[in-house]
Amino acid sequence: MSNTTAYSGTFSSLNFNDVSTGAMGGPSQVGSAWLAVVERRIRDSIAADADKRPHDVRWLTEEVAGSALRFFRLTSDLLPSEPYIYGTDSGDLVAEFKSKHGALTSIVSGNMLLNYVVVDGMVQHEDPINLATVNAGALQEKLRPIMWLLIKGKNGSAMGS
Amino acid sequence: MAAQWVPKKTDPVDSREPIGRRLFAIPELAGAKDQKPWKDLLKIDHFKENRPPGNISLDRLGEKSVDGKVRKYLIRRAQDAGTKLTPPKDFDGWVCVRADKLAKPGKGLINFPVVASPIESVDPQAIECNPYHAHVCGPAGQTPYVIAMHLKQIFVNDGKIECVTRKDWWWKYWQYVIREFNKLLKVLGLSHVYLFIRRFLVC
Repeated sequence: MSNTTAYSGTFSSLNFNDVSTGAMGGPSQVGSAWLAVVERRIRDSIAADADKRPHDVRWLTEEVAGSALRFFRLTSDLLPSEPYIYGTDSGDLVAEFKSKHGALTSIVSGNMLLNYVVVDGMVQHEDPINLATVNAGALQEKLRPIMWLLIKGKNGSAMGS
Repeated sequence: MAAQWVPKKTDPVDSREPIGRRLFAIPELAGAKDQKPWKDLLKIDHFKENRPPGNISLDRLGEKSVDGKVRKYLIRRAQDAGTKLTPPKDFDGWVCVRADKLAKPGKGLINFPVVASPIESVDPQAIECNPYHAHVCGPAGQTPYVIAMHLKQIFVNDGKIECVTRKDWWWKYWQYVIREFNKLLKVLGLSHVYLFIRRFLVC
């Protein structure tokens, strides 16, 4: 099946294997080696009735899983490492990334993305990003300075800016 | 034998006291059980408090260092508290840090002065009674995630883990190695070897 199939609008009609990032509104790109593994982990954690089971951190709703998949597909080539993913008792998905100078904690809550960057032991919070409306270019533009910080540290950022 | 240290109700928390946040087991995502465990990974939910008014509960684990008698006294209470959570959770231990590190964690982190808040009961031996209870408050206007991230980072920067079960990192890592080994044995058609190993080494 072509991977340019139009997104029909309802999440349940979406076949993850058939839809590329391009079909969801962003340019296609080459993902990281870990992308397929993380996608499989998220897909296997979707429960149809997850919203009826609050506090069950083992399962994700379709909305959160869909937003998380979109986030990873649009940014995996930019992200510093394979993430460690887990659920929260609010039904959100957390992805933790490690890097040379710190760590990135990304939280997918509904269709919002919250990023917390830890560089040299200090926490910095970024503005929330709406994953339902953002395109790949804009998302990568927002994440690029964060990745620079994680790779180069605070001093590297100052020198590079 | 020295008597168990019990803080007086009116005494403020000393800057040298080890302060612990209880770590209750948080299950993995259903589809992500094959993830390689991260050493000493503290999760956001370990520090997030959804219940109003947002005070984050802590335990005072000793006068100057972790006190074995206090630890023993609190383990039973923490295990009992875990059974009352929804869903019930195992108590794995504490992550602890000195009180002054919470009050003045340094640049780029929120200050969390520790306030003593003993939980009293008519019977001092009652499971609900906890003279070592303390809490910190998050600044007004901050989301539970922001508060949890800052608290987590303070514990990551200066804390250490006090495990009470075998479910520490090495145990999780050992289970991960066994699982991976099992996958290899299945490929080689030697599943019966895994059953033998599981019987003697894992259970």
